[in-house]
Amino acid sequence: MYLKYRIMIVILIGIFLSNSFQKNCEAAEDNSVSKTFKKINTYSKENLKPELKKGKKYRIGILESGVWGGFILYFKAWAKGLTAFGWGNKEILEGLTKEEQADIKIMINALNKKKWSEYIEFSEDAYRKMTLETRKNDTDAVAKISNLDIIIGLGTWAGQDLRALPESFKTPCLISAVSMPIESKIIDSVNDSGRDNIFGRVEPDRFKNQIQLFHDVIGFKRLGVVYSGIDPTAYQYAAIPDIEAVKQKRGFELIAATSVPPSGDIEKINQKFIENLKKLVEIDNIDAFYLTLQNGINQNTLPKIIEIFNKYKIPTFAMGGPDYVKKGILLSVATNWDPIGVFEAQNTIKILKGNKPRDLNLIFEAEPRIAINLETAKIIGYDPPVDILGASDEIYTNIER
Amino acid sequence: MSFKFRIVLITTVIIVFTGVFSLVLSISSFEKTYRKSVVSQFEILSQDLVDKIQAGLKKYKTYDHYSGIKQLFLATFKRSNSTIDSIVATDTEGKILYLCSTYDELMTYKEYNKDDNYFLDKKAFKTFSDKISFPSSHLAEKGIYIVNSTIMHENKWLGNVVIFFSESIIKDRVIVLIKDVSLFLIILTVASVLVILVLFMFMKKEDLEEKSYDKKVRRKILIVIITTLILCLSIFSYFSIFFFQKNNLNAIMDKTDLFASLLKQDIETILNKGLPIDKLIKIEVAMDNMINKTPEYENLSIIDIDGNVLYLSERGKITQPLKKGSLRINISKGDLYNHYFEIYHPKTAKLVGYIKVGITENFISEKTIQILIDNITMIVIAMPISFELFVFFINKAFQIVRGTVSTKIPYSIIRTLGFISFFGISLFGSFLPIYLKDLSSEIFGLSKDIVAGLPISIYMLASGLVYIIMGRLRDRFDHKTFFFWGCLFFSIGFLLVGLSNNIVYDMIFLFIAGLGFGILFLTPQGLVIDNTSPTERTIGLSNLFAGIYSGIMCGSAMGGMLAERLGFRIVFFIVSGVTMLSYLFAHFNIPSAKKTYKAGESPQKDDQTVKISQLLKDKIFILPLMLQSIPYQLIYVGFISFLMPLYFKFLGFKESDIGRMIMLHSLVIIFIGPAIIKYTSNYISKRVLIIISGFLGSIMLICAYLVFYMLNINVTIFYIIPWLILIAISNSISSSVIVSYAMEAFSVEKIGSAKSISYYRMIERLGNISGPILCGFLLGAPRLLGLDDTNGYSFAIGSLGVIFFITTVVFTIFSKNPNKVEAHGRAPLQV
Repeated sequence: MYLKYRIMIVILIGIFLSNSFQKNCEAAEDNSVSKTFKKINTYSKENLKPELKKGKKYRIGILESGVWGGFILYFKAWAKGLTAFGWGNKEILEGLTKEEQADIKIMINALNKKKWSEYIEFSEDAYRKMTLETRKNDTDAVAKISNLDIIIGLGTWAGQDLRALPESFKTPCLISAVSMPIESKIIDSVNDSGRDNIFGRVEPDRFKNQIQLFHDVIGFKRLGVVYSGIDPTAYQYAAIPDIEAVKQKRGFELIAATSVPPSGDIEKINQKFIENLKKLVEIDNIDAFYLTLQNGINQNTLPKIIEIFNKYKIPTFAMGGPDYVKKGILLSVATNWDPIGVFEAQNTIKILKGNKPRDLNLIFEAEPRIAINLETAKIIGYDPPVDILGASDEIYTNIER
Repeated sequence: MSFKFRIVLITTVIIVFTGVFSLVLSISSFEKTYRKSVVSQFEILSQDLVDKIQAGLKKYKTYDHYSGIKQLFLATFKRSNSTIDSIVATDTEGKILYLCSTYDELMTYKEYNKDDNYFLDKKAFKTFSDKISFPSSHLAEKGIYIVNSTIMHENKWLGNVVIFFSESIIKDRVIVLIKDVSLFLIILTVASVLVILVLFMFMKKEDLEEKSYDKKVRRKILIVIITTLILCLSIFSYFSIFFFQKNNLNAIMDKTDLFASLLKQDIETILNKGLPIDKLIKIEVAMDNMINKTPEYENLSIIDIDGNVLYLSERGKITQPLKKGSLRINISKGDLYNHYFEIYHPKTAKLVGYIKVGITENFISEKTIQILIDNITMIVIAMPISFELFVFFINKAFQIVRGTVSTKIPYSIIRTLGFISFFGISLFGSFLPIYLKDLSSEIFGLSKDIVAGLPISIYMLASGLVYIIMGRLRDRFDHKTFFFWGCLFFSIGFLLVGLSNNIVYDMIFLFIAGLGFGILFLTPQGLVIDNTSPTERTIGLSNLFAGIYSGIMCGSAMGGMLAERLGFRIVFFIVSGVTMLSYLFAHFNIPSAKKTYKAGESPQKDDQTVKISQLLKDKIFILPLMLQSIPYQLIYVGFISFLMPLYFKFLGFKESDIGRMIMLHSLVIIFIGPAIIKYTSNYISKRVLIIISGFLGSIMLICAYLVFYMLNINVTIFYIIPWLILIAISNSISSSVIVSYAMEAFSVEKIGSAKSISYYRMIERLGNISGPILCGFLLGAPRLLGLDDTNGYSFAIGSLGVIFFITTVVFTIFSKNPNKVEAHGRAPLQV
């Protein structure tokens, strides 16, 4: 009688021990929910720490592709990014006056003078603002400067000309503020710049998404755009290829006014822009307008532009982002300058520390922010749906005048 | 110990046992429902967050660089009244993209970039499947609850949003509930015991000594017990429903408040931007989304202060914008099913409108009805349990008081033994196939459906092998030893099934359990045969089978209810525990004695092969065996034990309902079947009875396909009950009459009825073993035949019906009435 009880007890103990053993093995894997994070790999911020180049500052050259108000905004964001990584002094940068930030040349002079950075300096002889006529000479001049550690090329001209330099030219180049770097033949593809010394930021489908969103929300039939027909880069800046691509799918018409001059007297450019605009709304009967980054759009012309659209109750979309919405454009979705500046700064630092530009990730993962102006909506008689309001990051109830 | 004291003790034990069981069931019901209700509030929050993220994705925001997600997270925290611990958004591999948490009372928010590889633990993260379209929640580990929702964009899975919250939110409220209910039941039980004490005080001592008053005294005691039990359970049921309704309603109100507040806050945000309440363009899209994902709510509307319905969303209907003034309602305080929430302008604090939430009527009542049905089931189960325990204890009490000692084992002990062991054995009957189907996968080149049926077939095979093994060992060990090993194998088998998570291991463990089951089935029968004379044998066996069927009836219903509330694994452990209890009962009540032979007698060593071949040549033996018994066993195991639980689960019934239906099936077999046989056996021959039951059963099975499926009927309980009753009647008649008919074969006389029955049962096992495998194959057959396979269950059941129909037709053509009955004038064997 006792034997069977003993056998029973042994078997039961065996079962519970094996079950406990199994549970212990599971616990040893340390997979409790309270310890939910398992670190596999972390890119250390040590890699972006500021340093001198063998005891000397890094020298930076800048090529600016003509006159465009957006370049200074890119430059400011880039400088802010460098400051965030410790390469510049935050107080000095934030302490610059409005005049000192009027354009890039003035700004770099101010930064140099105030010794904004212990690690980098802007070479004054290595700064050029290009024109259509002087662009090649400007590029060659900057390229000849031997002790530059990096050249920042702002805009399509700078990018194209730096790319066109011979293979023997090895100075690393970071190309920025180009709306379509692949179509402009600055880089080969989203994964490969095509030249060891070239880095060019790409933001795939950025403008397509803007146009699609605009069409989702408004459902327009005739979309108006103004740009300079003479300048092929203006065509890129106006995102015409993207509009054409979306137009094919969505079935709307593109009505373009193209007689704005690409360069020259600012007043004439502004005047021409407004004339083109009036033609679109009064004669061509557009029912929506896409405000791109073009000559003729600036602080002086923007209020007038908005006045025209509001008078004719035309919904507008700004390529340039929430700043334009604040001033009265109905809608925009764009990434703020700051994330762009951080991205460019990170890559600048990686290049200065010896990484090959071609090896770096070109794709900028945008963080689009939706902005809407409700006063504009009211004026033009547009009732925004709640889903747009819910998704909007910035809702302006007034037009900033 | 005086007799009165013993009776009071017995009654108290029965009432306390029933009371405890009711308490466990009620508490687990409450806890489960309440827990679900609280968790569903977090599911609403999770779904709201996901909807907002997805709305942004439609506006060309990118998931891995989502601007504004921090604000969405913070808003969700606020809406939860700070009950959420953390919110995490991940990609499809569980890599964390955004995290917001309030550990250590500090709110921290962090975004992770591509190079930071932090992963969510696999217990917290769920990969996408078709089943996860709504938020799913689970208790990840002690104290932490997780709600997991998927982020989808253009039909592509982008990642998950995971919300963590502490279980203490639920536990604290459940504990209060448990205390209330427990206290009430304890008071009720004590009151019942006192009532019984008082009643028994009036019993006369002389009644106990006079044997001729035996039945009268037993009846009196039984009536007192049953009446007290019914009263006690009825009162408890009434109050438990009252408690449940009150707490359930509170939980629904809390959820409704949250539901409405989500919409209200969105509206107020828009109003704050200067838009009026009648300019919430396309808000009905968001409302539709909310309604469709919360089955508790039937409609949602936004109304202005004049009663004009501005926006309306109704479940199951396509929402169209309403013209102002086209629909007006009178604003009222609301009622149980309609609730109004006021909307105030955030700047002016003026009332601008209302949100009206309509609760689905069935939602409140259906849970109450479920509790009511469970309580009624409890009362129904309590009667036979009390009766069986009473039968044992009262006889024991009389024995002890009167000092009577019997050399034979009393029928009451045999009956109680059958009851306890089969109570444990049938606890898993209503859900084992469901459990196996969930674990099943394609192995050994077999389809999932066949693999799901394999463990049950193996279980039956093992029980069949026992016939052979026990035959050889019968004379070497006593019944108690066999019973011990049977309980041990069965108990260990199910203990291991409860611990296992792998269907291949389950096959091995069920084989072990099957060995135990075979021994547990045969040993009591052997006990009866060895301890009764031929004239007493029938009574002994009928007592045993009465206990067995009573145990099956109570066990399957109780098992279903326990499984639904406590989970399958717990019930497997209970099966194991109850089986060992049955051994303890046998240990203290069954004497240890081997089969003894009189002088000159010795154990017979027969040539089994010759005997079996003689039987197989006899038409009267082989025809019912092959054409009725084996198909019947195929149906009994394949349909009742395998297909039926799966089919009912597919139709939407819960485990407790399935258990009740098995109980109903058993009730019909125990009571209605024998009654039919009793009244018809004088007028209708056994052969005709077999044919009628065969056609009845097969046609009913075929109806599952031809009627329920082909006619696309919405199969409710009102169809299932009569259908199941008719199948049970067929089964009942078949099980009683077929063997009896077969035993009238001429060769049975030569070989001996006991041996013939054992050979019959052994060959009949083929039906048991092949039943689940065949049914598994039939489940997958529609796919192979290129038919619509949305309901393989109806096809499988219908196919079983066709097989049974064909074998019944063949039996009808080739069978005949046994002539020797009339010639010898011998009454057929009662089995």
